[in-house]
Amino acid sequence: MARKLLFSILLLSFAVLELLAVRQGQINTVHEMTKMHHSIDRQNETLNALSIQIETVCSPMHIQQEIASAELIDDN
Amino acid sequence: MTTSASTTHRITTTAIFIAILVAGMLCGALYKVVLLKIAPPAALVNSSVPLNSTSHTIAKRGNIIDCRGRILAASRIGYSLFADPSLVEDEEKLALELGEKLHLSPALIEEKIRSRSQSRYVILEPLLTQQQVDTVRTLQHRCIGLEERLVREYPHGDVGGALIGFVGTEHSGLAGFENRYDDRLTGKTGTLIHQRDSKRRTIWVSPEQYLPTNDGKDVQLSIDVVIQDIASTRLMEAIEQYNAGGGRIVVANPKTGEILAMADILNPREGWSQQPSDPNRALNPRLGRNRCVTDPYEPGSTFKPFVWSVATELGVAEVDEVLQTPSSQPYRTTFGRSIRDAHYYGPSTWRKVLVKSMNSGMAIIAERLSHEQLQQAVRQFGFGERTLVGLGGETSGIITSPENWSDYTQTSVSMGHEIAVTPLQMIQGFCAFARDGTVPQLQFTPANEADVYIVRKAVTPKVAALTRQILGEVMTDGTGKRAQSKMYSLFGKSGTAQLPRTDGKGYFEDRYISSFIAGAPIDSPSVVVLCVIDDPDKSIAHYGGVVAGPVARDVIESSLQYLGVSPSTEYLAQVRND
Repeated sequence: MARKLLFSILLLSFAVLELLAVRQGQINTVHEMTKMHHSIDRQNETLNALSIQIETVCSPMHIQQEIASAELIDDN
Repeated sequence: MTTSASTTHRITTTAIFIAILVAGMLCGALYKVVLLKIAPPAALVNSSVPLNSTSHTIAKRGNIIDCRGRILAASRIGYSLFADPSLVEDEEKLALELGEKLHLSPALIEEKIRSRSQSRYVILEPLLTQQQVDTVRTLQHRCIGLEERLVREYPHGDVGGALIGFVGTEHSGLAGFENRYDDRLTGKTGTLIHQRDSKRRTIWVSPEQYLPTNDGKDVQLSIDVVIQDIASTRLMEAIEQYNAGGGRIVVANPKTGEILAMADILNPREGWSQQPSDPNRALNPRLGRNRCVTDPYEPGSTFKPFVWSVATELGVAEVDEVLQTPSSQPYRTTFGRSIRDAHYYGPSTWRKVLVKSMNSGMAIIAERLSHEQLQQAVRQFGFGERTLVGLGGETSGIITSPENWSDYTQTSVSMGHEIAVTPLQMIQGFCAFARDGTVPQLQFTPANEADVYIVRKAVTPKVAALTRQILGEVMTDGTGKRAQSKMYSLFGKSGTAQLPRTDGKGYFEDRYISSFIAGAPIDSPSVVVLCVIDDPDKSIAHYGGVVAGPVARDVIESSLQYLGVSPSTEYLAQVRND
C-alpha cells in the first residue's frame, strides 16, 4: 500500500513537472514566434522602403538628371 | 521476521511522512494561489504590470502603379519623435543632447517641451530619417519615444502628379486618383491582444481576440510613366519656346481606349491679360484642376475631320467633287456671311478642303447639311457628353442648343467655332478614325482589345479609313507638313482658333489657341495624341501646325519607339541606304 502511495506521489510529481515544462516550452515558443513576426514585419518594411528607393532612382526624371550631370562632367 | 516487520514499518512511516509533507506543501501552494487571487498584498499590486496589452498594427495604404507595374505612389512606415514633458527633468540638457545627436535645433526642441509642459505628448519631429531612428533607439530616455506613422512616397516626383493626387495628414486621399480610389487603397488596422509576463514578454496571443490587418489594395492605372514623362517634358519645352500661357496634352491607345498620359501645364506670364489660371495650384500643384477634363476650348480646324467624315458618309459631298471655293477673296454664304481662308486655292475638291483646311469648303458643305444632321454629327462622336472617364470635375463642353442653332452656327461649327470641347472628348472622338469608326470608352485602368467597351458607332469603317487616309495627306501636303515624321506615317489635323474673351466681347484679334491632333502608324494606329497650346506669343509663332504639331509628332515618335512599334518601311530602307 505504502509503495503504491509513494509511487503515485512520485508519478504525480513527475507529471506536474512535465506539464510545467510543456507550459514553459509553449510560452517560449509564443515569445519566439512574436519576435520572428516582428522581424518579418521589419524585413517587409525594409523591402518596401528599398522598392521605393529603387523606383525613385529608376524614374525617368532621375535618370535624365544623372545623364545631364554625366554630360556636364564630360564637357568639363 | 522481526527485522522484516521493522523495515516494513519504517518504510510505511517514511512514506506517510513524505505524503503528508507533499500534501502539506501542495495545500500551502494552493492556499497562496487562492490568497494572491482573492486578496493580493498592496505592494504587489502596485508593482505589477498589466497582463494584457493591446497593440494596433498599422494597415498600409495600397500602392498606385502604372500600366507596367512601376510604383507611382506607395506608403512606408516612418517614425515621429515625441516627448512626455511630465517626465523630463532637465529640458535644456535633453534638448542639447537630442539636437546634437539628431542634428535638430536644440532651441526649437526646448521651446516645444516648455510650451506644453503640462502635456503628456509633444511631437518634437514629425518625421525622422532612418539614421535618426537608429540613434533614438540607442538613447536611454523614458521621456522620449518613437511613434509609427505612415508616409506616402511619390517616387516619380511631379511626373503625373496632378493625376495621381495626394493624401492628407490622416493618410486619406484628397485629390486625383488618391481620392478617387480611396476606399480601395485604404486598409483596415488590425488588433492583437498579448498576454505578457512580468518582463513584458509575450506569452500568449488570444486567437479569438485577434483582428488581422488588411492592407489596402493596389490600384493599377493605364498611365505609362515613361510616356507621361515624354509628354509633359515636350509640352513644357513648347510652352517655354513659344512663351505660351499653358498647354495640355493627352496620349491614348485607340485600340483599347486607355489613357497613357495626360498633362496640363500653366505658365503665368508677366504683363499678359486674361491668362489661364488655377489658384489651387499655388496651394499644392497636385491640388490643381485638370484642365484636360474640366476646361473646354474651341477646337478650330481640328474639328473639321468630324464634320468632313459625316458629310461624306451622308453623301452630301463626294471625295473628288470640285467645290466652288474662292480664288482670291472671302467666300460669301447664302445668308451673306463672309468666310475667310488662310490661303485661297480656287475651286478645290472636297478632299483638298480637308487637306488644306479650307474654311470656305467646309461652309459650302455645312450649308448642304440640315441643322439636325450637323447636330447629330457632333453628338455621334461624343461631343456634348461627358466621357465618364472617372475624373472629378469633368464637363460636357458647350454646344449651341437646337433652339438657338442658326445658319451662322451651322457654318461656324463646321470650322470648329461656336463649339467648345474638352481635350478628352477630342481624343475620344478622334479614336474613331484610328479604329473602325467606333468610339471607345476612355479609361484609366489597363484594358485589352477584347474587353474594350464601344460607346457608339460614329461612322462606317470605310469612311473612317478614308478620313484617316486624307488626314495622312494633311501631313504630307497640307497644314501638318511641319509636324511630319520621318520615322512613322502620321495622320493628323492642325487647329488655330482665336482666343475668346472672358468678358463676352468676342475674340482677341491676335491671340490664339493652337492645337494639333494626330495618330500613328497610319496602317494600324497604336497611339493618338492631342496637344493644345494656350495663347502662344504670336511674335514667335501661332499656327497649330507649327506650335503644337511638332510636340504631337515628337511624343508620337518617342512613344512608339518606346512601345516597340517598328518604323515605316521607307524609313528603315533609308536608314539601311545611309
